[in-house]
Amino acid sequence: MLNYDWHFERVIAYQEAFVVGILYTLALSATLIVFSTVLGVSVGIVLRRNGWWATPLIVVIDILKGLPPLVIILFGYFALTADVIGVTVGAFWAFIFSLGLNIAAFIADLTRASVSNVPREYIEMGSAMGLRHNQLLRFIVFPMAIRELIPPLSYLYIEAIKLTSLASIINVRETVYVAQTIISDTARSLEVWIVVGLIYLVLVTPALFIARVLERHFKREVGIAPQISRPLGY
Amino acid sequence: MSNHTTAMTGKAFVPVLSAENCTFGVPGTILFRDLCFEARAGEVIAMLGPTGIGKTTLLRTILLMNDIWQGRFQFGQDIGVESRLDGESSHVSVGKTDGRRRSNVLTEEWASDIRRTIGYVPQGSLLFPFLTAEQNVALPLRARGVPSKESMARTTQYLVRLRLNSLAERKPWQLSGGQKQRVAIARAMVAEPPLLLLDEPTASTDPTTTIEIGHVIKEYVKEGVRSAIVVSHDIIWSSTVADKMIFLGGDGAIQKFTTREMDQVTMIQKMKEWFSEPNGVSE
Repeated sequence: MLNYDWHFERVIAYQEAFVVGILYTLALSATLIVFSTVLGVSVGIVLRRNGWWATPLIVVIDILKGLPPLVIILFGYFALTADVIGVTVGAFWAFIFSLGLNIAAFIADLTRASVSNVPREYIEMGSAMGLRHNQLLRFIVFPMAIRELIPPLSYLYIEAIKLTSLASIINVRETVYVAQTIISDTARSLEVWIVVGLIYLVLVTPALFIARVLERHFKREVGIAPQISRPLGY
Repeated sequence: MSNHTTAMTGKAFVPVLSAENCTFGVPGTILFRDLCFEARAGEVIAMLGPTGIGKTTLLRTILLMNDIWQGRFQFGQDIGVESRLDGESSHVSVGKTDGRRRSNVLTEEWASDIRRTIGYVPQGSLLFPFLTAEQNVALPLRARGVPSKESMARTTQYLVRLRLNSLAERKPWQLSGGQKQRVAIARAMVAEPPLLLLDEPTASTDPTTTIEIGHVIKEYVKEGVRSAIVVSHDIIWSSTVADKMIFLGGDGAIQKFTTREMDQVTMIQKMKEWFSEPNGVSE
């Protein structure tokens, strides 16, 4: 390492390419978070009702949670093509749909747990006050569940930002893809990966700080210890 | 139906709640058998008894959170909930006293309608932790669809009444036990229900606040066709607040005293005597 001849100036010359990569990473992260949140929260709320659909849904969720993200992404990339579904979905959206399903499975599980973790005595107190079923959900269950859900969800979002790096595998021009291109041009691997690491730290650190603040805030408000989400496969 | 409703000549004789031969308990155990009592307008009733006798179960049964196995609760002159034992199961019916609306099932809608005529202060106050003191107090009004201007005015009125106006913006975790208790009482009163049920309302309050809470409850019931049932372990405080005291003993035996009829020393003596006998003495 000490014998290595550092040449960051050759990497910095590619700053415009890095900016494009960062913009793609941000677009992927935002789209992935919105897609997986809408899908996951909806499924989690549906699961609360314990109908006939609950068991098959839980099986699907467990399968999605159990598969490595890379496997799901590659499967989605090759499945969402004209040969299979009659229309070819671009790499960007293939990544969103496939990894989005994986993250949505975790969010659905967290949502279901947050709703069912609302302490029974608060729901009974609401009933004793004469609140009707919809009012119980609106005034008590959802506000408490959201406060319990947000801290683990914010950690999950941080994982989602980091997981966008896998999109390079299917040729989405995000930060890691750009980095690999620059390496092939310059052969300066260590410099490039240090820059990529710094880019991800800059993206993730503020989110991590916000997640910690939210965790402390909601822990005090709801009085329930937040669950830290498990890493998504790696 | 209580015979007082026909002889109603003044507010004091209007029953806000009548329990008529009510039998109930917890699964597998009868706690009260053929319980009869009446809470009349303007009256505060104190329920006393040893720990585990079923005081909280009694309040929860009035709130229809627990089943009545047999007997009838009459809420005001308007709604009655009746349960008849048929073999091993009991059949509940609920309806307006004038017969305009009846149901053979105690639906959530009926239960909710009845609960809206009751203000409840549970043990440990149970404030919603994500709401401020003010939002906690205002919640029953929001649930009843009271316009926001009126809701704000009423909420402020009850915050001031319970000396909570300076604490309105605080979350429950920023309040002391006594302050939480006062918020819970304001929340129970703000919709001005005819019946208040208070489970150990002075359990975590200092002596001054304990006296104040007593005054607030007494004032509240005098302001309309209202009554309050207070469960407490504090016999001295209860005797200063209540018009009637009901001592609950084992197997549902009860003894009733009217506080006007005797001084506190005699009352404590009577209670000691009563609780020293097995299962207490029926009235």
